Amino acid sequence: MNNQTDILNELKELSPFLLQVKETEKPLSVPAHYFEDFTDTIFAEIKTKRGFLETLQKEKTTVPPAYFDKFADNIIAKIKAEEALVEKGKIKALPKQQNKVFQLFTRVAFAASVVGAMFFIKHIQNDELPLNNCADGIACLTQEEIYNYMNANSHEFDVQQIQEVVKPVVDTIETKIDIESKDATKYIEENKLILEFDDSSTDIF
Amino acid sequence: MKLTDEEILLQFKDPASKEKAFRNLLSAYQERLYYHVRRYVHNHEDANDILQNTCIKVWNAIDNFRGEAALYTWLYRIAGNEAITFLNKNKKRNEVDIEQTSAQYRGASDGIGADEMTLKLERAIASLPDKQKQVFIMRYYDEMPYEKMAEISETSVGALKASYHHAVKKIEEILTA
Repeated sequence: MNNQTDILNELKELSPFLLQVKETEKPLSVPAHYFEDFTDTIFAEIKTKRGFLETLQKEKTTVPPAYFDKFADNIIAKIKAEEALVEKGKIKALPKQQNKVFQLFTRVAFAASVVGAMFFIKHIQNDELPLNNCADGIACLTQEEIYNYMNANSHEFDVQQIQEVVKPVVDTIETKIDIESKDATKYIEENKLILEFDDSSTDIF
Repeated sequence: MKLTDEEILLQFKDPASKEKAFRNLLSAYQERLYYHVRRYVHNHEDANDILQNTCIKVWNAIDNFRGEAALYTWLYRIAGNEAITFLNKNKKRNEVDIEQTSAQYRGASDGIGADEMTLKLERAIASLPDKQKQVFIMRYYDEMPYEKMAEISETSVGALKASYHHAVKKIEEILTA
């Protein structure tokens, strides 16, 4: 038995359906003269790539004339110029060791401030924040005092907390105001408080 | 007259005849390599890209070829790897190509013709893992003996048989679904 027969028998055993597909398959089509021209196409491609690589290599190795001859002198001159400025006091150089300690201190301080900020945020976000409970004799502030404090420091509290504190104060204010809307309109008209059209469209920014 | 692998490799050793050797190598293997890579992709243009990349790699690496494996084994390995690399790079585009052509056939006829079955088969092969895909193409299309496949893929004959078995079953499942 030859190799092809072996393969077809194996396929017949594994999947007669796939064998049927294989037997009815059409051969692949290739453009005319493709293989005749292929070798020349490849050589053209190789030459183009080689030319491109050679250009790249030339560009890579191009350095201004005598660049390396004066390189060390230029660097030393720069170092000396910087040292001269330090001596004159125009630049204050930190000793290397001190510089390292300073960097370490900065990092520790930063880490501590992050931890502190997280602790504070967690603390104020606690749902069980005591609200004006005088029973233990520690925090006997009025609702108004708490409201004023939170209003002045609103950036430190979330909206829900402020609303909870504000509600009783607003309720009190609303009950105190007892003005008829007619009276209010009359008051505004008498005091010329209605804005002209042009004023209302003024660009405040 | 076609040269043997040994004669081609001998020509490569002399820098003066390198180009001639390469022409002989392409003349001997270009068609087999083309039909091999064409099975991985949906159209001629992609197969041509893969074949060109393969040949350029061969040209650049031929000086380091030590003859430890047969020449065709080495060429097939490079071509297969190039095809897999190409497929992974252009996975999405290849899927869309197959879908579009498949939709054209569906529009043209109600029944499943040989061409549409070929497309279904291509789609099923595309869904296989890389290793199974290579094994299936070498056995089903290139009709290669397991021993040659083992040399190319550097895998045991037993593992290749198992891989081919799994691939055939998966493809049959997809085609008959």
